[in-house]
Amino acid sequence: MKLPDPYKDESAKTWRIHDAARFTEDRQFEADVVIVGTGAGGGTAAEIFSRAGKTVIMVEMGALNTSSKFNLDEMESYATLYQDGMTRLSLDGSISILQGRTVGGSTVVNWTSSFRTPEQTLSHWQKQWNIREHTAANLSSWFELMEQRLGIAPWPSPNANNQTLLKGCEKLGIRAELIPRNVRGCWNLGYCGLGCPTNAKQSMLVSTIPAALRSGATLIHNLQVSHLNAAGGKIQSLESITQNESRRKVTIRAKTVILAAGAIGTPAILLRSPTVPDPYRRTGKRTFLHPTLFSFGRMPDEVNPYHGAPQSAYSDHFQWQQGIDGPLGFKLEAVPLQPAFASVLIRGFGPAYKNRLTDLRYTSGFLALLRDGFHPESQGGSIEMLSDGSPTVDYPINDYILAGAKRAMLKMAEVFFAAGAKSVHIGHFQSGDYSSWHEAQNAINALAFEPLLLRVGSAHVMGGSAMGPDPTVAVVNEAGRHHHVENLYVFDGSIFPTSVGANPQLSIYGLTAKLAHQMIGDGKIYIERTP
Amino acid sequence: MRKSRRDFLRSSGIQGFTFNLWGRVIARSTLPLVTVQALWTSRSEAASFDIPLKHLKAEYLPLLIAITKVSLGLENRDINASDSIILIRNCDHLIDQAPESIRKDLLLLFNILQFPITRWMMGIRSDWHQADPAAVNALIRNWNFGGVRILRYGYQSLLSLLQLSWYAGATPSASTGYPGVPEAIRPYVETIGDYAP
Repeated sequence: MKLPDPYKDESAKTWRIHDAARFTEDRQFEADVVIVGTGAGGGTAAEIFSRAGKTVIMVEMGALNTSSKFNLDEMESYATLYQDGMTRLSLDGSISILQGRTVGGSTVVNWTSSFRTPEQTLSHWQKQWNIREHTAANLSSWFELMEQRLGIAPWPSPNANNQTLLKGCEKLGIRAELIPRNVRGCWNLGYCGLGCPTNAKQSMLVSTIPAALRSGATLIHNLQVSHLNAAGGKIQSLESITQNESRRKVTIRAKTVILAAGAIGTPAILLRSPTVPDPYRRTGKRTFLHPTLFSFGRMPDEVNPYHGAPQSAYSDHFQWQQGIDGPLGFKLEAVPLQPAFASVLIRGFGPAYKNRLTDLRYTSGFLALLRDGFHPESQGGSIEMLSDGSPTVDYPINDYILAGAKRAMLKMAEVFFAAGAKSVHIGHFQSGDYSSWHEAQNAINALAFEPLLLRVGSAHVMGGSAMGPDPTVAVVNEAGRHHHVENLYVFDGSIFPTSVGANPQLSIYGLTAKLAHQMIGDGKIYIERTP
Repeated sequence: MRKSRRDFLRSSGIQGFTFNLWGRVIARSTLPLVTVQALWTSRSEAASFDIPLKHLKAEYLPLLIAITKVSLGLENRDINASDSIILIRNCDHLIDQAPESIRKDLLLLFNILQFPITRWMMGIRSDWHQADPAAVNALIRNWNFGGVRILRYGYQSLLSLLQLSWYAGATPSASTGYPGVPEAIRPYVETIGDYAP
């Protein structure tokens, strides 16, 4: 029995798709618009510009992996679909960073949670970063457009893992709600992080990229951009290297260059491009991660945390409680626990660790996204280049972050016990299995909160090419255009001046749709209305 | 400013003498290392199997199993040949996908753990396939909880590799009670191949 794969359809045979790993000689291409990266920003931009009649080339460093390959094997999926085979770490090794590396980018492997940029965040950007154009009112119709395009709606049937979060919050009188997801005809399997085999997830792989290809766009995958050549205030060419042993050079010339390689990849390309001016050294600065903490409850009944939509409930109760720029706020969500993924999130040693894994079917997992970048003590990290030319994130975990981490751990434990957990352990190497809220509270307060003892993750890299009107603090202006290069734009999460405070994919879709349409400027809408 | 991960680790003011001193000695003394390792290997019961490994060596298997057993609480469990092969193959696969800087660090760590003199200095006084679990336990606890950041980083990098590689296997994942993918998708998944181009 086979499921449909749009890339295997008869109609797809006319699509212009090049696997650069098969190039046997150096190549050159030309287009109106070249878009680097095919994730949330690149995919959205590709549909808009190609449907507006521009010749478009999409460049992706990952391979073209489609639903015909999504076999739900954890090892193969992590090794193939994620950056560095899911081994990407911050510079000092204290934060694990999950990002997609495949056509469609992280949208292929994310857990489908789709939130509009919180109004508090947009208001903060306005006040602190002088961003006047992107208010909640101005963005609303663009969010609505992309919600329609990608089938975004609250998921009505949370699995037991997410119900645990809803139940605990309800018992404590904490507001919790259903998460909107970008799915159509979802089978409720729970394997969004391994690539959706049914194509229900409306990732860029199955939505905007096919739309762009149908409109004549070209996709070149397995091609890594090395640098841009700028002269006379414009990008003259883009240089790239094929991802194979022969490492052929590919040169692309385009009237407009759009970087959408994500908040590590985009600053890295700019940092590798010495001819692109950066007089105030702002590129790769203020990188934010939503540092993420994990907690686990042993529930009385089976949870089966590997099955069912991974994330469908959340609470923002602790996000803004102490002011937008006060002590670090956080968002609570559930975390899916397929065995191999669970094995690295759950901390512990020896028999205690084994017992935690043996109890997996009864285990519920929560995570807390720390909203970084809003407080003077939360300046984020920076993109640094390693000696081999690859980028890394240098993100110091300071006392401000650690204090937020402790508060989040305490609240997650409290919610678990309110939901009826028999015991709780947290993502900390010295955590015990606590059998009451009182015990957990005392123990967590006594734990040393230090990097590497805590399991800290991130699936949301933001910032590093911040937007804003002032070139001394921002890399691009509010239109996404580089302050010093007239035909260079950035359309991805790297332009956010702080973290978002929510899973960022819809923020990227909406903002990119707005910026791309403004660039075209004819008042028409080029996103498909009825896919 | 360009930094290498190793520059950072070496300049971080940490008392990681094992990494800093022996790591440099081993990394830079290729000929003595090969000679000594060859002699040692010839006296050990190195595993032998026919799966291609791009980075790891078959003789690393006893050390992988010894650390996996203690770290993951599997001391009372026999790890059969099939699970062993999956463990080292998955480790090798993940190392292959890692960026060059992390790959070099991990392979250096394996060399340090495998090299008889450094292994002995770290308290493992016999070959890895005969290693005393108590000594392995002490070594790991010292690395993870001893307060030396570089050792904690080294152990945890290795631990994540072993955890992911072990629990991605069918038998270990079933030991968690995991029933596999939902019934509805099984007939379809069986027709899906792998990620080979």
